[in-house]
Amino acid sequence: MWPPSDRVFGGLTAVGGLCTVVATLPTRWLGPRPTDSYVFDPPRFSALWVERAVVPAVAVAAALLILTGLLALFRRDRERMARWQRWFAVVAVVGVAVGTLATMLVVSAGSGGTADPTAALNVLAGVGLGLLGLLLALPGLVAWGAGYLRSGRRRLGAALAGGPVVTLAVLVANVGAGVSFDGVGGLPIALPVALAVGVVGYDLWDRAGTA
Amino acid sequence: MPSITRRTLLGTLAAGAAVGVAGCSSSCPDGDPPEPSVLVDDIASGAFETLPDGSWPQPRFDAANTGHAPVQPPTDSPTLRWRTTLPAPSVDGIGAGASSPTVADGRVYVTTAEGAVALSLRDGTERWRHETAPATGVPTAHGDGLLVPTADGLAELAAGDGSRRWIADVEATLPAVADGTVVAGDEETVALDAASGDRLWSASVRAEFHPVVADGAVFLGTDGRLVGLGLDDGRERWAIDRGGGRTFSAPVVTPETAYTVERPGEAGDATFALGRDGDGTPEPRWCSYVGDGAVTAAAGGHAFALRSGATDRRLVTFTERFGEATWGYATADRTLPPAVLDGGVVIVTRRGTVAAVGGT
Repeated sequence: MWPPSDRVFGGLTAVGGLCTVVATLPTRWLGPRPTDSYVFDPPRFSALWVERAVVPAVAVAAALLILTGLLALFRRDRERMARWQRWFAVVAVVGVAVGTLATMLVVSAGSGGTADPTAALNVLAGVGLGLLGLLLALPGLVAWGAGYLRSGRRRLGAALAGGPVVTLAVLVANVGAGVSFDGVGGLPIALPVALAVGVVGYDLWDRAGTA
Repeated sequence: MPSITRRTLLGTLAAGAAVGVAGCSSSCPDGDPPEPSVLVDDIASGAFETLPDGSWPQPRFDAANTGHAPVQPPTDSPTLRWRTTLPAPSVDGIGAGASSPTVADGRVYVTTAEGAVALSLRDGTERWRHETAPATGVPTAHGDGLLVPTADGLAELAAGDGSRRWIADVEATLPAVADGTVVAGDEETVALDAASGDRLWSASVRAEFHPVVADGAVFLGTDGRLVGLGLDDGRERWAIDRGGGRTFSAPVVTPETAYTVERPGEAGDATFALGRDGDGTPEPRWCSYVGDGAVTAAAGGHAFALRSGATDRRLVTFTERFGEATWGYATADRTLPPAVLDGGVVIVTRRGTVAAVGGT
């Protein structure tokens, strides 16, 4: 029974993709959300409560499940990878792990935590680690995916290499070119990631015991 | 060993810097100025067809200084009804300016360095002017009279024609009066019997602003804490300390909420709404960055806050529950505490511009 089969990891990874979408859904879709002031104790199940209580937990779950999926994929395929692909896969997994830690640090500070010195330091460390994770994960995933493309596994390769690239392109369009995503929150950034994670999960599920 | 020492040193420096910055900053997580849903147009739409009901007879509405009026001010589609400018000369080169308004019996009373002025609440036209002594404080409507702190002492004018009835050599302050007790603050907070003037109690709490009395409690904004004393014995009942030696302004107190402004040393002010539950310590409900300002009034489920920054001076109304900014009125110079009425709000700026906002 232990370790769990790739099918279990595939299912968990797919849930991670779903959590990524849920964590970035605009909470104002759930109802009116006060924006002029900081509300200390929002009513339960209100949009603000979901943003404070549910979204952070879902975001951490998404990061952990994605990391779990990538680890399972690496464990399954490491024997068949070329040396360079294996090293880039390690770099990608380390990058995602660092990103997961960054997510936890930022989430632990809460939405209004910068007034507290410990929380402020957590946010600072989280942002720094997030950037480091991005620097590691992006080239790692692209190269890892390129290895799959070379070996003819185009769907998995396209997901691993294309997901981060599309996400980065959307991010650059948003921050660099000023393209606004006001109505849809972080969905344009999260959807390519979620789709790529879904493909990884499906691959783990589909090829369980055969790969 | 040297690397451990360096790491420890850097860690200590980083933590110290963070703690230092946090101590000077606001404890309110909100860092953006509120954006009111409606900004009142500066074009006057004409006199009130129906005169706003209610009165604002004293600088903080009632003798207890609560700042809370049981009226329904305009909240939907507020419009500017009239605006006029009074001469507000400076005294000895110091900008004395105009006082905040008081309203009673359809008249708006404002004092300037030239004296006291009565305007019609309906259209802002001048009814009388009294210029024998420069006013030094906010007028207080009192029965059919008007108490005006002047350079010569505390004067009572007839509300009807502005003639002076008497003047007393008394330095005017803004004590709170409730339940037969006068509470005044200076180096210490003192309670006097309103009938005899006898001292009832004193507390070694130095209020930075005037005291406020509500439901048997004295609310004091002090350097570092918002303090609640028992009106009957002056003993400390509760205190709110949000750390960092932040000063709290005199609160506005309604049955459900106490509003105050937190003033950190090195950062912008923040409006706080504290939920009241009996005699217990009020709990923070919401807070909003105001930059440099004060909360001076509350009515109809709304708080009236002033932003007095160098570039963005305005009156902003917040909803009681979630602190949503419903409307605002921008002014060219510093806005003074408004008079809030049933269906109308009278606003005065430091340089003497008087404006009335009503519903459509």
